[in-house]
Amino acid sequence: MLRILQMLRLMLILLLPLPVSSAQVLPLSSGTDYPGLDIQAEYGWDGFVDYQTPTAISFLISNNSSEVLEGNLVLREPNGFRSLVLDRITVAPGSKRQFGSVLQLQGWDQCEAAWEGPQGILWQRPLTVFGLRQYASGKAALLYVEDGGRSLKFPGVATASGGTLPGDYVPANGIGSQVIPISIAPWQMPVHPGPLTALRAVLLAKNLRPESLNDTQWDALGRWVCMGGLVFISQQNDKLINRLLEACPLRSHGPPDESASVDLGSGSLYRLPPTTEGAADEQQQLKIAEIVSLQPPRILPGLFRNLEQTEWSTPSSEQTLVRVMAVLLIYAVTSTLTLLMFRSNRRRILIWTCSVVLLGCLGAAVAGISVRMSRGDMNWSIITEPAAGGIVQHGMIRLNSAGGSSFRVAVRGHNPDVQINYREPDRRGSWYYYNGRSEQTESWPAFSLSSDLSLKTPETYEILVPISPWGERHLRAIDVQPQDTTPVIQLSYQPDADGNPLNGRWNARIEGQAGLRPENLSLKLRILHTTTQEQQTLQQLQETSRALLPHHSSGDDSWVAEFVSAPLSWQPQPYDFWRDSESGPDLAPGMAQIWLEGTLPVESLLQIDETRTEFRAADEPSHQFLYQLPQSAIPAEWLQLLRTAR
Amino acid sequence: MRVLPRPLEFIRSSPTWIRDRSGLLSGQMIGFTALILNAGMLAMIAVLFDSPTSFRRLLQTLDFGSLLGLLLCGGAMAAVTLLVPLRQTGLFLAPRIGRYFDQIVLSGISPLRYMAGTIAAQNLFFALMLFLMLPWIVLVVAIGGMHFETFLGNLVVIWLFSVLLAVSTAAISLYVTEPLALAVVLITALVLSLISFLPISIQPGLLTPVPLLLASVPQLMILGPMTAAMAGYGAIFYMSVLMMSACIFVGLIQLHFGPLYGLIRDNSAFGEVVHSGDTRQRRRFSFRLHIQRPSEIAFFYQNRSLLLTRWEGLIRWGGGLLLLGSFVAAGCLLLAFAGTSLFGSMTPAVAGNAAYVSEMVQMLYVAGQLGTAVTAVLAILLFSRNRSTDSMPVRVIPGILLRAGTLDWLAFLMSVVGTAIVVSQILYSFAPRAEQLLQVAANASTDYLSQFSQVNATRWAVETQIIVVVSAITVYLLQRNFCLYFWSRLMAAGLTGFLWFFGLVVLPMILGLMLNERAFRIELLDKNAALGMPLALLSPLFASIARMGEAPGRLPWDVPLTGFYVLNAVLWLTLGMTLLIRTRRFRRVDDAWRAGRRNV
Repeated sequence: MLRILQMLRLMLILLLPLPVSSAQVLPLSSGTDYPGLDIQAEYGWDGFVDYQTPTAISFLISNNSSEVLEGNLVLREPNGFRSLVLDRITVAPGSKRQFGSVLQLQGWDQCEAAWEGPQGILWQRPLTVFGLRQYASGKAALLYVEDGGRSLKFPGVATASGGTLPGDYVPANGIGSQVIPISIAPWQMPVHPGPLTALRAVLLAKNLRPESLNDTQWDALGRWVCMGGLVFISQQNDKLINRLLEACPLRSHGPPDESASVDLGSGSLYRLPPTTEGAADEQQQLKIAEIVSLQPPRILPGLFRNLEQTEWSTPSSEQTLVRVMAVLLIYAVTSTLTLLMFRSNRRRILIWTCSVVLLGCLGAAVAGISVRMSRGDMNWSIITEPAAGGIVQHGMIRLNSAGGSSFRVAVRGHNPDVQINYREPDRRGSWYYYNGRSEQTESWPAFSLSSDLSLKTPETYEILVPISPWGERHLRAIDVQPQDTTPVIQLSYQPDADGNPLNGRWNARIEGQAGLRPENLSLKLRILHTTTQEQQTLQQLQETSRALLPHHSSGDDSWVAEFVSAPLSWQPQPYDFWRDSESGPDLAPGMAQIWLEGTLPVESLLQIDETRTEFRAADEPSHQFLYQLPQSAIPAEWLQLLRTAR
Repeated sequence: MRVLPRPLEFIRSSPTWIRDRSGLLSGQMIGFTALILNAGMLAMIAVLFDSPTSFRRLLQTLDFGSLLGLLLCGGAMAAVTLLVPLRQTGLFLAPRIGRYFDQIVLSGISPLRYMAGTIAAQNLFFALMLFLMLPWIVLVVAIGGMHFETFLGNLVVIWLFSVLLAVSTAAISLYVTEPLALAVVLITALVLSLISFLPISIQPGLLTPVPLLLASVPQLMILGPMTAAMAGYGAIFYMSVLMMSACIFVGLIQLHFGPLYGLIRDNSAFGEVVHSGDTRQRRRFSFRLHIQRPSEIAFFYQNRSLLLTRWEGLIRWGGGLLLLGSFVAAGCLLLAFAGTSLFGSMTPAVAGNAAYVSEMVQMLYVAGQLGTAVTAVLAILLFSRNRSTDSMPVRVIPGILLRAGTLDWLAFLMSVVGTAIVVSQILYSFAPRAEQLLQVAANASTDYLSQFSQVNATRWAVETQIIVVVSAITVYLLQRNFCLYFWSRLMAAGLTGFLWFFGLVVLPMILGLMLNERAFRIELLDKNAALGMPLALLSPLFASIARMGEAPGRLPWDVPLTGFYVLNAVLWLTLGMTLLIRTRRFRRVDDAWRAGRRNV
């Protein structure tokens, strides 16, 4: 019996390492696709993969077999240890299915996509996760959606040079930004507006059918337009225009008009006049490129990045950290005190050591559990943007775990959406007097799509935030609410005799509804001004100005703020080495960003659902007002001076 | 089943096991271990928390539980690397300082039993460390995020590493003093840990737990990927276990056999070394501590068991040849790979560049020559014995008894000549392509490079190796001669190297070149300036340079090296005769003394 026990003991020791090696189990691939199955897959668009912006991944699954196929869509890193299950997909025989998501795959050297069914791997392909091109802050990207496989190429550039490829639009006289066309098929349209925020505009081909995009894709496009995007659709395709209008949660109130552009939230829909194939088509494309080229980037992403880098307090996190460190320090000290027991007998030493270790374990367990159960800290800021047809509210939520690993966050609003930033912005502000601009592209930060866990309540969006103990995550929330709160702005400019756009006098009058009355309202301008010095060299400076708008009168239902015939003072923007040495300023010559900024004392409609959120707000939330003037509101004579002055 | 109880009894009856087990539960041991462990862990955490930005960035890619688990394993590995070899330093040092080592020897205990106790006792120490780490482990489990299986796997490998450290420290202590052995082990562990971060396919760092610790956190794999197969955690675990186990096994064999150190008349008194004429010297000049320690250990190893001693020669010299052979194999693979890459990268545009082509081809052949030379140096050090051991009889296989000196000759010739043959084969396979390239390149040139169009690369492949082999045999004969006068072969090697390098390499070359250039400005010497080059060609270095076509004075690449070969032949004859005479005399004396001992 003893021998049997000894044998068993030996076998146990020998078998112990075996489970350790079962860390990775990869399914076996048969090497061929399922007969009748055809899948197109792409990460990014047309060679664009930018790890600083949200990246779409799209699949078009065509089941030409006679069986229902189902399985998990999985991404694996062949030489690494990571795998990602995207979703369980079922495709009926003889049908097609589009699947899309938004993923952040930075750090993946290689990627293989597979559709794994119960009978094995149905389909497997390598997926390119390195991009040929990335978005540049000084250039505008235009997405062309077309069903026939054609690409949009602008005439003009014959050979590639200095980051410009054939097909790109380079504005004449250097006024405006370059436009980079990106062509995709409808199935590659993202299912969330996030990836679209890296673009300046979207052009839907005139032969595109509304049913080429599914409802989720239309909703994403509509939401993005309301967030400030431009969409170009030919008037020849009324169905497409109507479908987009249906998908947009906001549209301007008032009778419909026949103007070329329609304001939808903070963005616009351009209805293109009908053309025929050939030269007229080309002319129209150039016209579109010119409009996009002169469209300044959105100011909101930059404001958010500045907000993300402000300091905030994390009392819970500090408390739990102190708790854990106290336990460990006490244990370290008491265990080291054993050194003094050089005259004690072994029994006493053993009792002391065991007691210290057991108490240490107990303390560690209590500290660990309390840390795991602690609610973390939260700081959030809202920026409300009045837009045509309502308001767009953007929320930035910063979370700091007090020791736990996974927490719920829920946001309440009209139809909110919350996503987790892939990483927090680089806080290089504390290093070498850095200005804090780490990401050059004016878009949302990169994220992987988090699904809503509160499916039964459309006014709430709940997600699970994986967060390391004492780690920090940033979230972005957005909500679009139909309201009649668009301010009316009248801006005029009287130039001086010298024709310098930096001189002259301005008149500004803003009238708004009482429900959205900002305080400390100021008008801000940002331009890229080109000058010529004595040595005939051109220097480009980014200059800002700021003018406070005092409230002139305030009624019960409305408010007015204005200043009359006032000059603006301009200051050069500090040179940002990290940004400007790599990609240049984000404003092109001849562009101007003008916006109103202030604080809102009222509670925002976008709220944190505290009953479902496992974080505690450390500070009062900040609520800001932002309104970026559309190009049509900027005085034309001033823009003309800006573009021609030297 | 009596297999199991016997090893346990073997260890339990070891005095060092009893001593270490008793000393484990002392306040100093526990307190010091706790201090090192906790201080190390807290220091690592303090470094992380001190830089909140880096900490948060790290936590975005790593789970906190994984990070803490990694820190725990890293802390355990650091503690083990520092403390386990330190605990082994008392193996021989303590009894020798305490002057009771002779009693240990007289007790008849086998060296393996003596050392096995202390090696096995470090398992208790490892268990103590794990016990002291319990609160940290509980904290990590309570916070969550740690992958328990990989943590367990890491601990297994760290335990195996601690056994390896103990065995290797003990094994090295047989040859050098314990503080030096400690330094060697610590430095080697540090270097191997650093090498673990390099993306090389043959990874010696697998002897440390570092590759496995990196593999346990996949996000850290970017730091040091195992490019051999981009192996997963399981594969690296098994490779680490295999390599460490093999090294432990080799170490145990070494501990069983002990150092090969002969006992002759001069060091036949335990604790004292007496040479002829010592009575006429002052006492202080007869202290020979560098001989005393190895002699005492040699006495100790008279107690070893007879297990495998009938195969001792085969195991010792075979093991040495295997070790050297593995380095040679790795070097030859590298050479073959380098040659293939070199010739594969020679595009038509590059092939017209005579200077580049000739330089690259020469580098390849010179690399082969250098590799053989390094092997020869290692073989000379490995296969030479000091005064007391040279004539020692050793059983090679049952029924065959050979002297250590003879076995050394055989092993040396096998290793050097074998390496030269293999390398020349590799270089010979590249010869046709090399000749073709050199012809194309040289045809486009009008200066001295044009001579390379006549080069016979086959001759380069063979003759450069012959130069190395011939020089190596000369050096070996010199070394063997000096070893008969020294009790330390390293001292003999130092003198050998000095004399050979300055006497046979540098001096002829310098003198010959100066004579050729009429630099002495002495009429008699200037008249014989023509003897300068032949004099310089006596140097193996200049002979190699000349053979590669780089000699000054427009010396053709195929200049005869008769002088070099004749000089070495004469040296062989002289040194060989001296060695033979001296060896016979020593063997007569030593054999007589051994015979007298046996009769007693």
